[in-house]
Amino acid sequence: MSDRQTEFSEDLAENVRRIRECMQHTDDLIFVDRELASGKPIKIAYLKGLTDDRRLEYLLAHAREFGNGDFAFGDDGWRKSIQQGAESLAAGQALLLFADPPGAAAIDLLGVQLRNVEEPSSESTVKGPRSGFTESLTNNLALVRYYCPSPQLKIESCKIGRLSPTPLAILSVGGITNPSILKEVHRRIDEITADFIVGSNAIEEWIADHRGTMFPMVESTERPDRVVGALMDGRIAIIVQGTPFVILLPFVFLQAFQVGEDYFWNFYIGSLLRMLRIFCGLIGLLLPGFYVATVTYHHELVPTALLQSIAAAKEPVPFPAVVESFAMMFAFEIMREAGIRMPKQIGQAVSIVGALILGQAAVEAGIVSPIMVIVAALTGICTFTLPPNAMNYAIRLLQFGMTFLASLLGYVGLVAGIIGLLIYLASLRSFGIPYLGPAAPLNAQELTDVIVRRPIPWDSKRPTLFRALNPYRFRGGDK
Amino acid sequence: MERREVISNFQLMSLIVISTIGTSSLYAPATLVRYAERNSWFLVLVGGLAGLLNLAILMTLNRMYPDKNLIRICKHVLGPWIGGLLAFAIIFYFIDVTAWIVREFAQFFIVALSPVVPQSWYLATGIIMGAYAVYRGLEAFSRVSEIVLFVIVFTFLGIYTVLSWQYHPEYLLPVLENGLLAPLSGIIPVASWLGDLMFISMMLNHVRRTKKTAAYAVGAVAVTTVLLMLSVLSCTLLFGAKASESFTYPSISLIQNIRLFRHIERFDAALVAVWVMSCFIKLTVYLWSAQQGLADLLKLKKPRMFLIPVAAGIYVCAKFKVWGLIELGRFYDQQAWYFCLFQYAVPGFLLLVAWLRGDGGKTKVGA
Repeated sequence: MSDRQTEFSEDLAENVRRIRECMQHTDDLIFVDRELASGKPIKIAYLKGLTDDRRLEYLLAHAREFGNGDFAFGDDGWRKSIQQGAESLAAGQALLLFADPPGAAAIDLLGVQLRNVEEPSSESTVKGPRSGFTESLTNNLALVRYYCPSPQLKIESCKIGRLSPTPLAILSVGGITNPSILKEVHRRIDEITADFIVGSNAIEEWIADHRGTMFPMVESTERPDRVVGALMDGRIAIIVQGTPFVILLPFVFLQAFQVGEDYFWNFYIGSLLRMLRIFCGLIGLLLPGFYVATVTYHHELVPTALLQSIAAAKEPVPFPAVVESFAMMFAFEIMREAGIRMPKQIGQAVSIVGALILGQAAVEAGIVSPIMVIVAALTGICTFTLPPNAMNYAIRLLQFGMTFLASLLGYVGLVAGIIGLLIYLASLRSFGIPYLGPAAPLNAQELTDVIVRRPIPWDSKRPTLFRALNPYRFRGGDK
Repeated sequence: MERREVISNFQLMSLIVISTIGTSSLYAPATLVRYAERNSWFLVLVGGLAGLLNLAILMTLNRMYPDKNLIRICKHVLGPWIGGLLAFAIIFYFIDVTAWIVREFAQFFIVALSPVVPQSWYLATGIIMGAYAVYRGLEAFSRVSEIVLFVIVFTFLGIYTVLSWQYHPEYLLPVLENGLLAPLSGIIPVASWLGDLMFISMMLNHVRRTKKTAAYAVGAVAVTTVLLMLSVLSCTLLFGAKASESFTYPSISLIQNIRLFRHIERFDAALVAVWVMSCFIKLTVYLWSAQQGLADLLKLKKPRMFLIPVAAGIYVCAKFKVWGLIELGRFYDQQAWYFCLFQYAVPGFLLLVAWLRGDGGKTKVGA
């Protein structure tokens, strides 16, 4: 179809027919006839249910007062083609169809019932702000602006999706964000050829450096304070319409152990919690494997008294340690998944029933040893301390692999697994930034900041990892 | 065309330290006391100087030909035929050294840790780890080496420090009672360990060069020498020279003497971690060098395709190389000239020819 054919004509009835055709004769498309003060007829089109009733009524009542033509609405609100008009309707705008000059004015009347700003369920805090993002792009942008009232905050909007264009916004801070990373983000977003995008995860998968990895290549958060913190470090945020999860990039491995709340506690407590999470991550990854390797291959390394109690506990169990370990880890994952999917009130009960009754019964039936229950429970609890992001899931998945390697080769298998994992992580990049940074390549000062939460007045330098244009948060603080 | 990989000075330093110290420190004390008894620390010191000599040769060659690795230098200096033959011999050496390391890796675990696991499993683990790292590229394993360096250095220092209250300084006396030359009868094996830097000749053209590159490389040899000396000193101070000689892996005996708070003991797992990590880095750098060498010699566009056949060849070679630990130890001790030939003589010969060609005066010779 040529451009000429898609443009609005001077015949209003023909325009109505073509819009109906373009919108597949959908039943919720409504046309209302009105007249301007000059006596010229216009038609008002909107999608029933998508528009705000109060504002729609006002529009219909005051249609006579509108001016005529694109000069009255500006370039931004004036639609010249049927396709543009249909897209505006689908986005919750009302169209005022004019015959002379031929075209349509788009007025935003979007009135979908959305939830209010609430505390983010996946990133709750004891201390710190309670507001979280919602599904509305406009509200989310306003929240970021509220937390970061800076004229340097730059918001660039675009739409992704050929059939169903989804609005998104790219946020950066002028004078801090590195333009080359921003340019790369734009390039990758422009290359998205999807028909439609549902949620930020789809964007994440499209723009990630490595698509076949289980590790998160970007960060995802529901908290506006975390987004602002990231922006101030020179990172970039992407907010997508219809999802409360905002993408932050670039992202490096060790950031997965940080939570925004670290900065709302005293720096001793913040540092302790941060180190605790890293330690728990290591336990979550390695403890089942370490246990299996020790009881299968390296008895001589266990103190005699402990070895005796392990042997006594394992004596009635007919399975090797690796089978016990896999059974318990698998059961734990089932209980965890059931706890999440069940309604909240029942979910807790499932966990308690699973943990207490099932574990106790399994030990009494001689299927698993009590020590294996302790190992599985400790491993599971340790993974609960990690922020609920994709890294958490990756660690839970990898503990199976580590346990398998440990069952084959003992400690050698375990260390080989760690090395393989490190090699893999070291080969990853997030928007050109080494994924294991600042540990490898080593930047001792920044590595300290990742592991220990330094006092804020001492933290004058931005991380060099994200190549921020302005390397200092403030001058003279780093003394 | 594949992206050019670049590593930092610190990463080069990490690779040198790990691949030199990690494996040798486990058995070096036993071998060295055989030659120099309680004065083996002096032997290590002189070995460090030999390592510096090797480093000087390789760095000078690299300064003359900054864009070339050893294989290209061979062909450039000696011509396509003789140079090609020597380059082939060097690649053979890289592959052979990788096979030795893999065998050494497996042998340690069979002797010291778990004889029930078949040798071939350990061999396969070693070679798969190395091949995977090479597949992921120089940058990836160089980054990991930075982490591994800290693990290894702090583990060794921790072991030596914790044992310090058990040391007997009198075991070192009298010092050098037979003069300075007597302990040097074991210079060949120690020079082959501390001069085990041949792989850097393939890497130097990938290092992001700064004024401090040479300082980092010299620092790496110095750190290695100090750590090896600490290893030798600890064994001598704890067991005495005669007893150290009787151990297969004196470092294991060292770690088995650690007891914290009366009940916490058997830190062998730490040694397993150190051994796996250091062997892994060492075999990876040599396997990578072999792959790079093959790519340059045969002008391969996709050298990664040769990785699996080469790795399989190394596995077979490692499996049938020696009968057991005694033969392996004897080769390292008595046939160390083989390693020294490639570590010192070949690069030295190339340097000499390059000087005779008149390339010595130039700061950079054409690509």
